[in-house]
Amino acid sequence: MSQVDTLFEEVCRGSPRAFETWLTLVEIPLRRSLAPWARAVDVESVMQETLTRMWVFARDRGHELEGENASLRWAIGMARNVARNEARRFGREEFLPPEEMPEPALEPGPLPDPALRRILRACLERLTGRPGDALRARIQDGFSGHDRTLAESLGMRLNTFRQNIVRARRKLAACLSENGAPLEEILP
Amino acid sequence: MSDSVQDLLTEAILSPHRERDPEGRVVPPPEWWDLPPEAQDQVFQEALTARLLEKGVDARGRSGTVRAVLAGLGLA
Repeated sequence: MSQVDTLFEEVCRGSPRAFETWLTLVEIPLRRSLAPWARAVDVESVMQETLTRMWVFARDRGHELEGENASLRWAIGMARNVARNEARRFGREEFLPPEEMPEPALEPGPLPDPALRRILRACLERLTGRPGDALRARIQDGFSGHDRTLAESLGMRLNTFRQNIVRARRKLAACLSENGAPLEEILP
Repeated sequence: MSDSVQDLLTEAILSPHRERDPEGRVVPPPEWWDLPPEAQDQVFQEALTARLLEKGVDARGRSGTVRAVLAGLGLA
């Protein structure tokens, strides 16, 4: 039984903490499985809709799942159904991939290792000025509110805020590369 | 479409914040509709990178997506 399976058993019993850890493990392989749908749907919307439904599903029928990484497999199937329905709802069927898609990789994503985490934090802290402010605000609070709200809290206009994030991402990528952790090696 | 316009649209889509419609469904940001489909593959890769960076700097390994889902369910 994998760590994903063990955690999902706890999720089925209603543990929010187990659900949080389960999410951190399945998010990346689930997102990767949606690459063929990138032109047809907003992948972020599909991700959030699917992961929200998985909490409801776990409490309702999650205990019926069987097999290695069954909850991740189920989530991938659910995400594909959500993506297909969204594409049809928004008239983007022409961008849908073929119905029969190969089975995606099912290896749950590891949590970032401590050394990499230290480099990321150091590079983020080194970002100075308005670009640094903007990217740190997005990372810290971007999940909870619109960019307009974040921009106003920093005294920036919306487009300026986003331009600053673009600049900050480029500086961050350069810093990671200079410190032996180039982005292409971070990506699992 | 100029690179700077595409950068701004991309950055809007990279935000993990999503509105919900009256039926409670997560909806794409308006900027998503303005980006040509051929640019969406690049956005996909950049979103993957953005979520990995968020995971990397969060003490519990949570990305913006995970935090948005937990907050939406009242579990944050």
